[in-house]
Amino acid sequence: MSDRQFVIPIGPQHPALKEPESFYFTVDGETVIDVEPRIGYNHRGIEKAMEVRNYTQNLYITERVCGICSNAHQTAYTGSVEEAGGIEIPERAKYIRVFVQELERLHSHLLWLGVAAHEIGFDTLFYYVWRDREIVMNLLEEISGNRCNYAMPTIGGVRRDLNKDNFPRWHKLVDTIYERTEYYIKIASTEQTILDRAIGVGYLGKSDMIKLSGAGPNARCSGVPCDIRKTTPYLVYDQLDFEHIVVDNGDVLGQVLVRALEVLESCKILKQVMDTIPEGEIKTKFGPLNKVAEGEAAYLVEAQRGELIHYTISDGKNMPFRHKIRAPTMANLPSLVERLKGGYIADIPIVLAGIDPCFSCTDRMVFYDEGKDKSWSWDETQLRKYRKEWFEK
Amino acid sequence: MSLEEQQEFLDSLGELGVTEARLQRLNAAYARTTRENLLKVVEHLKNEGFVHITTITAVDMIDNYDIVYHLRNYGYALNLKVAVPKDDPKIPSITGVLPGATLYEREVNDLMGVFPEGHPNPARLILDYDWPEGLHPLRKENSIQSLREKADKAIEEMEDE
Repeated sequence: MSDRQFVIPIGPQHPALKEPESFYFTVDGETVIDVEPRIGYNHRGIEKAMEVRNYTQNLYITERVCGICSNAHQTAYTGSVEEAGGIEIPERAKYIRVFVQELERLHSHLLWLGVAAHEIGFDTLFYYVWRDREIVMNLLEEISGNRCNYAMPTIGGVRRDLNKDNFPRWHKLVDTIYERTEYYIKIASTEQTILDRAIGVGYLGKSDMIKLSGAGPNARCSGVPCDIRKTTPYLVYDQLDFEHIVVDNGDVLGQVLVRALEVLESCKILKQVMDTIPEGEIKTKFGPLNKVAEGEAAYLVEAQRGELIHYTISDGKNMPFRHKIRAPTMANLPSLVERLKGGYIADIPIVLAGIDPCFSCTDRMVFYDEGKDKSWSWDETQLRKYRKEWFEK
Repeated sequence: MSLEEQQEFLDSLGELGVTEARLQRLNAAYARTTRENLLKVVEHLKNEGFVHITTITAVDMIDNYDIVYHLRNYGYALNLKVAVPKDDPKIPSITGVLPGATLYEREVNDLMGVFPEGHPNPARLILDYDWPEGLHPLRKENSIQSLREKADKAIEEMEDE
């Protein structure tokens, strides 16, 4: 390090970061020379905790890995357990899982578009996008009762059905989102304020991206065709008609375009699901005493932020022997570091936001303190007692 | 790739010392190799198009550790397992072949204590700087309760100093 260079620590608590994460930036004047990320500030010990809880309890843990991609985590978790235990789920349940997953993708991508607009100082667009996002949030609340953590997939199917009487109204809502997003794409690709702050910022080419094993929109904006819904279809994605969005811009503008175009594709999927969803059961019962047969499965899901893997090993008991989760942000950190190198300090927030980082996903596992001094906290026995009393009333 | 082509590819890996190969369903294969063969197999797979590493899982199998490399050629996923003996928890680093593996190997080193030999920067990644050396949370011999006690004790000792 020459005497012109400085190291700036950013985080773990910093106004520009929404979640606790630490980066050490080596800078020479205004230029970033090197970046060293340090994760783990949100480590909750989830993988360890899952080994001492049964499959039904783990359903709720996996959902709480992340607030934004809660449904993606549950889809991957249920998928891996079902594959390991050889549990077949009804066709209608698959369609409902896809429906909720695409709604979640819509709200996440719209959230990101708003955040990106905010990071480059275009707050008008941020307000507009987040206003439209409320349509999706209300729709999710109508279906599941919750704005996040929808608790829809369960092992063997889904927990709630969709009412087809609502479909005509939902079609109109999806149309609104489609029209609005088309307008935002027009703005993003013509408005000079955005172009000046997006073109060439945080550039990474295709070969570097492949080398660093990036995932999701972050890799697809650099021209890597890696959408798991297309490359390794799961659920019913192979029966649905939608485009594989890949652009080769490689910069922040590419990130915006990929996500905005994917919003359009998700709208198409939602409409197809409503048109083609078969009638039938939504859930099958699994195993005696909730036991899952011996087996293993690595299940890949295209979450909003990219490739999400849940790998489960079952030894025939009612608890997983080992359950591994790798969230997409972890895969995108090496490429994020490369994107930041050579850029300006002022571009750090937008490039960071560009991969749509979610550190609470990435860090999953440390220990929670059960709150030794807090008299209101209940342990499991007390909860069970409360449940028993409640149902016996 | 069709199911037959994927099975054929899996069979062709036998020459490199890949055993227990099986195709669970379309696009998902499981296989095993040895610690000595690991780099050779990963390099061969990379040349065959398996350039994407999804993650590395470390499993405590009671008798030994299993390190599982989840490799993909963007369609076909191959989960390659390597057994590591408990009295010598080391494995050659594959970061030189697949640079995307850098953080996953550090994660495995933190949480399971299997050291990636030849890694360019095997520093701590996930565990706190204050976390006691040599205490690896995902090992089966450490229960949640014992981990909590050990960590509390280490912090108390540090405060006393």
